[in-house]
Amino acid sequence: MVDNTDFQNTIVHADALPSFTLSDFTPLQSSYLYISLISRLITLLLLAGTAVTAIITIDEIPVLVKTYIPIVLAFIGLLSLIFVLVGIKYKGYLVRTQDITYRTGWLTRTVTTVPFNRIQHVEVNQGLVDRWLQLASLRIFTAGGSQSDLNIPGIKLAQANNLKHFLLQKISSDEEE
Amino acid sequence: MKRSSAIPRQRQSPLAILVLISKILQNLIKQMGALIIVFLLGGKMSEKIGTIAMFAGAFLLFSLAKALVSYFRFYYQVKDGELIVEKGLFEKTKTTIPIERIQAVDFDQSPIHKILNLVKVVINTAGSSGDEANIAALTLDKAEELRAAVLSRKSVGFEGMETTYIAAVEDNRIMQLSITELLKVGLSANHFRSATIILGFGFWIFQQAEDAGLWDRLQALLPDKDVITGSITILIALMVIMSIAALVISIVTTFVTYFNLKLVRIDDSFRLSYGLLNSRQFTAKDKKIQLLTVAQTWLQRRFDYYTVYLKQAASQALSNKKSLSIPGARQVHIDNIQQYLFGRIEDGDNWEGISPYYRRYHMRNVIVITSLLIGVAVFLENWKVVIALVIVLIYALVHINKSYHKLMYNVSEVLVQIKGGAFGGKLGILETHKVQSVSVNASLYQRRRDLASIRIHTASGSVNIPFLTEQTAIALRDYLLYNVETSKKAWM
Repeated sequence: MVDNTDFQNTIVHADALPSFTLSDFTPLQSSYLYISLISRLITLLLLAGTAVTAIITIDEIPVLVKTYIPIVLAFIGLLSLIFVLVGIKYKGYLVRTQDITYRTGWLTRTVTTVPFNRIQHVEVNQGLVDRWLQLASLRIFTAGGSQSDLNIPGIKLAQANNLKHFLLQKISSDEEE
Repeated sequence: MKRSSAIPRQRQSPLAILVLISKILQNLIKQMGALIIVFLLGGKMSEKIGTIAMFAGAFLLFSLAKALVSYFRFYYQVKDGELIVEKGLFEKTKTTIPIERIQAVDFDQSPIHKILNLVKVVINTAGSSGDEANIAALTLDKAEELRAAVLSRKSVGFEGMETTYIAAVEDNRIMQLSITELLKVGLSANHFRSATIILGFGFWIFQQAEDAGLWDRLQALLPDKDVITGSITILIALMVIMSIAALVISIVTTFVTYFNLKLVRIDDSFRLSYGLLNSRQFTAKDKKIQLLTVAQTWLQRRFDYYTVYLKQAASQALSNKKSLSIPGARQVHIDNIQQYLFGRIEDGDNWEGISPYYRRYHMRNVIVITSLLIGVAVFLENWKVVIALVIVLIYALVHINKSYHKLMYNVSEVLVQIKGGAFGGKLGILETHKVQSVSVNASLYQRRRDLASIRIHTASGSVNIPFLTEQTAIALRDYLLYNVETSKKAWM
């Protein structure tokens, strides 16, 4: 069935379509760096803890391997430090009148856009470290599964709540139409 | 007009008791299977007959009691636009499902159902697994009545206008598999899966044979006294036997599973039914179908068969359960399905290929990795591994080349279509208004060459178009977003 009153078939010129460039994005709060660093540190400490207990308790591990474990761990630590420090520059979000976009990734860059009329629900999350730094992350759920959902970390709590209200308003006004 | 949207509170068919007993017994045996086998194998048979009889009696009594209680405590009804199911052995539970949340009503038949002429009714709701409202056994009439009541509600208009659900009138058969066709479908099935089953089983047999000294005896039987040629003969014989067994297994499983396969168009939904021992019936509404995929293996191509998947919106964990897979479809059937789903078949000359860097990138990776491995193997002078690696390398290169040539996409205002595959073929079609979100990805390699990939997410999986020019990927994204954001059509 075609609803004739709404039916439009205007010519779409590819050049005239609204687009965006990387310079349009809002970067994450710089204090988000600490959150990333702390979470990486915790994983690293856990790894180191397991490694140390393994070295102490299991005698069968060759001495050569034992000496290499700390080097490998240090290397992983250094690498994740670099990734966190550089990676934060490439994270950012962009809200337009019809959709919201999040970009992430340093080596492999991903830019995901969710139209407002496909949002299922919106969530504001605050972890322990988030709370110390007055930050929050905004999660946007679609019906498309985890790959399709957006998780925008490192936004000021007030801003995250504002965005959430804005999005919820958009969703409900879409449904009324 | 007959109004059939209310069903009074009632029990299942009395014959359901038999179905319930068999189900409870089956569960009991499944749970205690190991114990029973251990008991049966140990000790003398004559001494155990009494105990066996006692246990069998106890099992039967227990199942009968449980079946009776669950039968008498089970009620279903449709009232005020809600399906209400009451059940519970000790604790009574009452499940209420608003009819508009019910996606589909499917019928299942086990052999016992068939003998008693009953069906199991499976209620599919959006989201949850829907197990809470299944009805174990109804007569076909009652089941049809329930389905009509549940589905008719959906087409009731706002101004009291009512279109009743008529199953028989608009029965358009799309496809049906005859027995010869079914055998051919079995012949063209994926034999690797059967082969792995056989392989596992074969190893076990081999071990047993070796333990029993059968291996040596087999060799002694052969006229050729040469040990090496002897074992090669046995090996070849084993492989032939295994291939035949794999073939037989896939033909038999295909035959049993898809016996009497029928795809029918009813109003705005597809209904698929098949099964020899267990008959199953699935329904998929057009608006629930998010993605149509068609796949063809190398072998299926020889037979000109395709497998069609109608993927319905569902959470990731459920998506397999909610996709209808239709084996043995011909091109005509696919055209027919497309016509129903999209109102048209779009082909034309709008198909575009991807960047040749796709081939270069994947070939480079494969060559680098296998060359390193080959180097190691040469260094170790393990020539068998070298030969195997060279074969793998050649296969991979051919595969990549074919994939590159076959990968094509076609994006229009209403449809996104992607073709792919290497030795076989693949096709994915989705309507643009069913897109949930769009991602543009670019790896370091891609960015250096101004390339990017685009991933289009739907509520039942995503499709990926790799290695486009960055400009094309962005243009496609903008175009898709424009379509989604201006479309007034609901995605579900």
